[in-house]
Amino acid sequence: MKHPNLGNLRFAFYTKKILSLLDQPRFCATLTAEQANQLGYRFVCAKEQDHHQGVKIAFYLFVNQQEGIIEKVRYQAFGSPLLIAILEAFSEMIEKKNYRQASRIGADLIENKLRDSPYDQALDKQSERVLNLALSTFQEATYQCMDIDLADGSIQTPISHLGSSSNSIHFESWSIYSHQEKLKVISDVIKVEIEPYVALDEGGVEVKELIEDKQVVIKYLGSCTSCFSATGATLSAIDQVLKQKVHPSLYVTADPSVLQL
Amino acid sequence: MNKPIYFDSNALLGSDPSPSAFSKKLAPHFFSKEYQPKEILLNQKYYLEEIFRLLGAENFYQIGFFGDLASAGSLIAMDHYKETIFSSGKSHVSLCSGSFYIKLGFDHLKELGCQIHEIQPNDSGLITKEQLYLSINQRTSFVSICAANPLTGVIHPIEELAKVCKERKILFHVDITDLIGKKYFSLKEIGADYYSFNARSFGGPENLVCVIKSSARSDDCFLEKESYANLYEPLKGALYAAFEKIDEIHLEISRFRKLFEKKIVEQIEGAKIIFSHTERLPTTTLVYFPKVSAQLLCYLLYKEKVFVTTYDPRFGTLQDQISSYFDDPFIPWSCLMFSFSSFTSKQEVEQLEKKLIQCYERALMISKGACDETS
Repeated sequence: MKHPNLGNLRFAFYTKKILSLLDQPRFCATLTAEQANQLGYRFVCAKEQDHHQGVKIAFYLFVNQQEGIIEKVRYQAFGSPLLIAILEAFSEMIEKKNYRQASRIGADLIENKLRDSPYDQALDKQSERVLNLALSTFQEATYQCMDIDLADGSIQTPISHLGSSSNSIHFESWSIYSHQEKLKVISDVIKVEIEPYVALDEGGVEVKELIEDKQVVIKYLGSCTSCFSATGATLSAIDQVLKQKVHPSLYVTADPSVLQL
Repeated sequence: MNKPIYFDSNALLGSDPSPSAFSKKLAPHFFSKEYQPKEILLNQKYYLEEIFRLLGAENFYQIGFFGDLASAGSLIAMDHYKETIFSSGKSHVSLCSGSFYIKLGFDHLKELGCQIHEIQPNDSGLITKEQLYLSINQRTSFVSICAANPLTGVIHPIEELAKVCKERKILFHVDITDLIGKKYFSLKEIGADYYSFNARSFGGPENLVCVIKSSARSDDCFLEKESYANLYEPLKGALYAAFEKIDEIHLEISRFRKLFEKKIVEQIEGAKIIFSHTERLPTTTLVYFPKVSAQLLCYLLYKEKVFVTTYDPRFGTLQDQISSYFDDPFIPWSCLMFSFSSFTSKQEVEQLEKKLIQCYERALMISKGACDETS
């Protein structure tokens, strides 16, 4: 069979996650100020364009005026399919977050969300520029919310994107890894899958030790040390991620010495 | 199961397996292990004469064979440097955007003082003599043009440009790749100093770029023939086959294109055929689709196994080629190029029309932000 030319070949390199976002875009739509008024939300709209890249982006947000939570996000976009995928992933991440949390989402986090595995890059150099334009457009939107005071302790479990599918990439070879290799794998997964999300709330997490190759002891950092979900929802979510992504025999406990609950 | 259909810039051979397979059909023994070059060399003169005859060239023209465009461009640049720039000091060079490989060659000479200027097309997409005058000066010694723009399909008045260059004693190079098999021409009548073509584009051997030099000055470096001797016959065969199909392309294929353009303009509100009033290659059409991104539309078509072209990085972006035509800088981002070939069938065109209209509606829905039913 004749191969498609280079231009079309680029689509063959899209990750499965990008393809699934493109199949059913959920957030591409418009919102109006009237709708926001009826629901008692603040209407926020930000637009940017770059004709050198052939990109136009508009964000529409409904923001809760008491808590600063982005209740609903929609976008309009003109550009490559990757722009649509980027905006879909980004919208999914910022909905139900407060505007400050949402503004902390950076290019790395979106890139990670579009990857099929931690080791395969999803976006090329050209689309990184598009991604930055999307982020700066959103930044413009958050400036319109700065006057809303944020309540403390708005931390949420941030790992819903993993879903229930099990795609452990280390399951087969887990038993032959050395202790150090196991620690490295666990640290890598935590770095990619957990850290960026807890960083949204100025928290951090690192692996302290691995006991008998099963018990993962984690050490919370920053605001996580004083967060109630550190021993509840967040801990359980980290446990779930490691079971799915590394090995089902693992379980996670938190180092109590740093917790200030 | 949907069969893929090709209307991309490499669609020349349609659904044929590949250009090299086509060449192998013409001369299978040249590609076998038992191939004996001596046999070919004996026939070398005959094949070269035939190639020149098909191109309407004189036998005393020189021909060079190269494995890729960059090598061909470098050689032309070096040849010109040695023969003209070095002795006259005229180091200004004007190129059209399609002559990217000639530019690569001259880029090497920038350190030696070479200046490169890009010739802009006019509002009709044409490089006319007026456009050429704007891009040359007293120090210009070389001009390079593609006979036809591979993205827009516009055919430039190369004979007229050749005359201007002759009057100004500027050496003139024409890339004739896109003319071969699509328009009758004769190198002698064009009257340029250098010609080049990529054999793959019309079904010739892969990795074969030919450079023809019409000046009477002799230069041995231009005559690297022996290592490519095994490709003479496939090249001759592909040229012959391409020229034989010109009438069919002008009658049948250009009719398909006309019907396709008519249907798209009728069915899609605001769709426009770019440069439709300018003389174009009978196999190419560039269509503007209002309010949607061409890249998104291209992707949706790709998912339907319809291959089309948004841009070809080899020839720069569409923005450079058609910016003079539009005020809105976003319009080129909504243009898709469709290439027809002698292998294109009526069924394929009908399928293209149907799928294109469906995909356009989907792209429009996404671009307008109508995917969410609740909004």
